[in-house]
Amino acid sequence: MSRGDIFIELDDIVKVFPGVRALDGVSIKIAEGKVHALCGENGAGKSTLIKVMTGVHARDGGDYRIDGKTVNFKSTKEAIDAGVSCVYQELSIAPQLDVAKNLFIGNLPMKGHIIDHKTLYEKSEEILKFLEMDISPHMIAGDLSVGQQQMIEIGRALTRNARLIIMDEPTSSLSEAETDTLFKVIKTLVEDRNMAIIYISHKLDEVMELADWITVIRDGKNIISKAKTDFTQAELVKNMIGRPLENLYMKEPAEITDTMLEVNHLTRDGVFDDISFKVRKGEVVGFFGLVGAGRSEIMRAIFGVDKYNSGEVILDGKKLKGGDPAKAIENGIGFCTEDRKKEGLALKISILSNMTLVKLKALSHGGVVDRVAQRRAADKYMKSISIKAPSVNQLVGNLSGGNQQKVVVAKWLLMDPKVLIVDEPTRGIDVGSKSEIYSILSDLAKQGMAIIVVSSEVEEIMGVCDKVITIAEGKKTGEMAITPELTREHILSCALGTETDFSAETDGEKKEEVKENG
Amino acid sequence: MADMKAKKKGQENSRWQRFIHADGVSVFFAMIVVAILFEIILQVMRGGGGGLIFLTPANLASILRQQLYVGIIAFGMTLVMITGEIDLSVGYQLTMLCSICALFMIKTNNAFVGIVGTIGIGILCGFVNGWLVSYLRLNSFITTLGMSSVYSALALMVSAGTVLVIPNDCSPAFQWFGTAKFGPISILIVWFIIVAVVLGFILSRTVYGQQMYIIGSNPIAAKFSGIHYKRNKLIAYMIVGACCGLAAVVMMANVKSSNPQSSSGTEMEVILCVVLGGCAVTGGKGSVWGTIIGVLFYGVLNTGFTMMNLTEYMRWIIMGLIMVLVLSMDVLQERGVKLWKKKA
Repeated sequence: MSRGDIFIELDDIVKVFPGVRALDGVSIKIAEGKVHALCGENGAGKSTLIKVMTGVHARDGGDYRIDGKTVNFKSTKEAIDAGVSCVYQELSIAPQLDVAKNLFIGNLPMKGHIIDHKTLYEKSEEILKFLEMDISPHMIAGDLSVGQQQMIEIGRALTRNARLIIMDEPTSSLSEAETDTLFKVIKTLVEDRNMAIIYISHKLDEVMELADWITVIRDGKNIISKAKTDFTQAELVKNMIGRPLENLYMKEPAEITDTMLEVNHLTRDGVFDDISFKVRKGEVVGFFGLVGAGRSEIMRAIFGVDKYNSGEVILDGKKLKGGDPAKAIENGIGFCTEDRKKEGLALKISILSNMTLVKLKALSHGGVVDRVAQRRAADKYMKSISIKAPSVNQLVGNLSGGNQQKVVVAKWLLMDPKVLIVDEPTRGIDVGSKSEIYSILSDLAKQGMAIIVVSSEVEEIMGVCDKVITIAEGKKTGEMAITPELTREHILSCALGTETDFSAETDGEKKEEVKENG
Repeated sequence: MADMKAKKKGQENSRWQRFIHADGVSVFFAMIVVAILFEIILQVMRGGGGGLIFLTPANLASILRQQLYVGIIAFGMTLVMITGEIDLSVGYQLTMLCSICALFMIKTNNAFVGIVGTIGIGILCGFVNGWLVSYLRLNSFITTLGMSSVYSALALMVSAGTVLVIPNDCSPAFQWFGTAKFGPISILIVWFIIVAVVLGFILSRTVYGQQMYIIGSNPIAAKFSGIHYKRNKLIAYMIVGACCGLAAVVMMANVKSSNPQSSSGTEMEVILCVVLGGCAVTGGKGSVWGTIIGVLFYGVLNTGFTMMNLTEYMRWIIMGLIMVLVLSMDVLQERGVKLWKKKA
């Protein structure tokens, strides 16, 4: 077979779950040596489609052919044997095993009944070299970074002679550098090895860069499927959400007044060093840096979940005692954490309880919750930030990613914070919800809240913030006002630590100077 | 469209579904079915014709009566299990507290010392368990198993290994505490109801109670929401300790003798009651209302099997299997939920 030949065909695939038709006649054709992007909002049916392809779910209708023959996979093993491998969002690395064994897991080279270690490590070296990974196959997989682990998963697909590798949100936890490497590897796989890739991502610029062919699905149906060259990004978005999206970032100017949060020389040994900055009322300050640069750790220290060694945090003129999130909340700091499922939400519990969690004391008299007030408070935010759920009694675990994120945001808005820290507010959520989150942030700033946005997407920082602070290896390397002149590249090089730029370090005089000049 | 339809259908059914899914309701129906089954089996075994055997008021009342001690402890255990922890030491805690209570009464014959002292020491036991589990972050399963051994040994130590007998002419106030009657209602039932109402109120209506569910469902999210999860867990263990203390006092006032070697298996009974009542071992789910049903259900099973002339050993085999079954249902349901979520 040669590049461009179609070898996998799915026709009119139907998958029904109790009460929902998750897939309602999706058709897609996969060609060798091409990257096929699959786009759609959360809940559109992408994951279900993949599970049908990889043998996790049996289809309820339609036809699935590989090389013209109908297949009915009963397990993921059968799919893998047929050449269909998947790199899932949740990595399936065995952290205690070494790299080589992870690569060949379930498929170890054998000599009779014992593992052929020589072949194992030789072959692993080859694969690592192909993936341009400068690590030893003897390394313990648990010690690798998330990006490296992801590469191991891709390597694993290679050891299984995959013809199609499905990648579900592969870059959601990768740094920019790791993403670049991943792209390079994908291109080699496609061009040199004639492999097919199905690439799923919410990051549309990635899709536009990588894909040869794009299929958009919505509500379990095919919406459109055509060559990338025939698509514009705007068209893509329009098809995904079913309506045109005017402007993703809707930052409206807010009046910036007094300093609300002041952080001076905050240091945690070995994690971050001498971090100082100010956030004023109505100001949105972005924190940008590579994954692992220490951005989230700084926020955790300010909020009090982690301790710090020296420095001080002053909120509204009052010095905070570190190391106690309950005190931080009491004083008016809200913290939407990076990983909503792990740190933000109790999935088995209702929206109502999750939302009112930090406000519970204020909604109670002598320790007894005023249920009417609780219900009223939750209902208000269900409406005002349009969380899509039948009622506040719905379990949070049953909501889509975007709606879950809105519940987290609502939880912190309910306490009416003076400073709101949001860490990766739009990770893994669809474009529609993204734009809603941005407009919420913009509204809050207008109401005079001081906001910190931590993000690893430069566009997001540039779109929603007034100012960006870059962090590289635990040190502050820049503080710049977001102006039309500020370039993406400049922010990136500060975040890499190759440049520094403190042009917007806040103090009153400088700002006035600028005003006079302007 | 399909989505819309599904939603509409969901709403139509919602009230009924909510009722069915409410804690304990399905277990309640299961219990009634099982009780009727027992009636049928017993009728068949005994040839029938002689009127009701199992479903007689006297029998049902005796089921309730047997379960009261276990029930009181099960309510406390519900709190601990909602936070995702467990207390395996309640059995030996009860044994030890009975010995201590008997000792207090024999030495002082003072109702205040006997009652408050015993419950106080119960709370202290809970404090130790809770402190180890929440502040030292030890695994609750292992920790409380270990503490079981400690309490068992202490029971033997305080009683010098003998059965302690409280004299029949001991303090009337103490006797009243466990044997008083209000008309036809024994004070045991009153205690059962009081503990249920108080803990039920705490769980469903207070800030503390609502926080417990969050702690059980996601302890990290609880921490990031400024909840004092360590303190809350500690309090839950102390409540269990208090419940054990109360059960011990009431039991001593009734039977007036403590056997330090009765390795009763109470902890299994308690856990089975709580689990039958719909509490998830993984935490975050359960209620006192559910546990009440669980306690009654357990009583029905226990009495039913006894009336079928099964030996105690046989009963324990069946109870053990039921426990495994109930727990695996929980796990399966959880997996179901996950599949549902991934599809969304």
